[in-house]
Amino acid sequence: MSQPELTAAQLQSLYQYALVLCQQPADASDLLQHGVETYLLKISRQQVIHNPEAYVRTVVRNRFYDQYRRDRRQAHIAYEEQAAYDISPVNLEQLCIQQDELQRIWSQLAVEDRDILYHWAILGLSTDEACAELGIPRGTFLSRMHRLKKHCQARRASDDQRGGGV
Amino acid sequence: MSRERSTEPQAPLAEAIRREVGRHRLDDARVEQLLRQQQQVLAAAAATRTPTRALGLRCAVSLVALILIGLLGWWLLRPPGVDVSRQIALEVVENHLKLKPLDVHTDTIAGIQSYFTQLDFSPVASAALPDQLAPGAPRLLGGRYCSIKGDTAAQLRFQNGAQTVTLYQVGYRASSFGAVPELGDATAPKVLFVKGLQVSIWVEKDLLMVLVQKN
Repeated sequence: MSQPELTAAQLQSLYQYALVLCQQPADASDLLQHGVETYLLKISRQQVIHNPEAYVRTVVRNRFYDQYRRDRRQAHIAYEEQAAYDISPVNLEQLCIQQDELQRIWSQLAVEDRDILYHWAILGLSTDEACAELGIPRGTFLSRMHRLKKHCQARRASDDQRGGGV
Repeated sequence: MSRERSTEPQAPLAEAIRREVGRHRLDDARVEQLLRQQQQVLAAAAATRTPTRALGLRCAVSLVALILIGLLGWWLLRPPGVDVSRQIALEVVENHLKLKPLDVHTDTIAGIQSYFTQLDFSPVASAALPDQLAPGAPRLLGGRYCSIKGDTAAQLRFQNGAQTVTLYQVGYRASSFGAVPELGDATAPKVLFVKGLQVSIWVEKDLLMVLVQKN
């Protein structure tokens, strides 16, 4: 069986995924380089990688989390609140947000949340599938998404108040 | 200072994420470089896959595979016994003698548990430890990652009087570690002596425990 090849579009997608994780273009480029080199090493040894894109994505993710845990970097979560835990369910499909607002808070999300949202929005997994794939407790993710939703609603209400009467 | 109210319409979260993620791109020169690397490796791999060479290679691989299967079968059918315990003892004694720097300095098992997040088990405070040590009040110093027969394990280091003792913990599997006395069976740990050190081996809370101390 011939070895499937990575395409330019897939390399772009993999770079974008690396950037979702590390939020730094230089680091994302390094992660991608590492992932591609690991994949090329495999095929140079006559091993067939049936899904190169998925393989490289896994290598990128593992490499990032190894470095992330070692360096103990913590993404700043600006919207964390001190309220009691709220078990209200949140349906991501029904959430709407302004593009510039997402751009503002995207880098502030926990990396695990960005990872899950990437798998949901870009790769088309359900949130349950994404949480299972990434080994992140579903309850933890959902409670953080609920707080994100409340944060966005609060910001919108605040904007409406300031805009009123002008 | 008032903030200008944004008039941008809201979009579904998934679409907004796709736009946010998609606006970042790797420069084309970099993409071309990676594609060239891939082509070079694929070309080299294809060049080594000639028919006659492939046939010879397949025969050699088959022969090696048969030999390995035979060895594996012999190894699996051979009951793990004292020599497995000795292998474990040799491995932990090597770690004990090297005493590499601790990954975490803590005097509580909670500190150990919160640090060791890359294990497939949770380290525990061993109820049997005080009985295995010379009289004294062992003081936990910290821990470091290690391995026992290929499985990722935790080395806990204690100061017991004048000597440093090390306690290794790893998830217990009889197929890898052989038959080991279990705490609570009213049986004593298995004790071996390696390079002048006393090695005690037992199972506690489904974990293999290995203690190394001076004789």
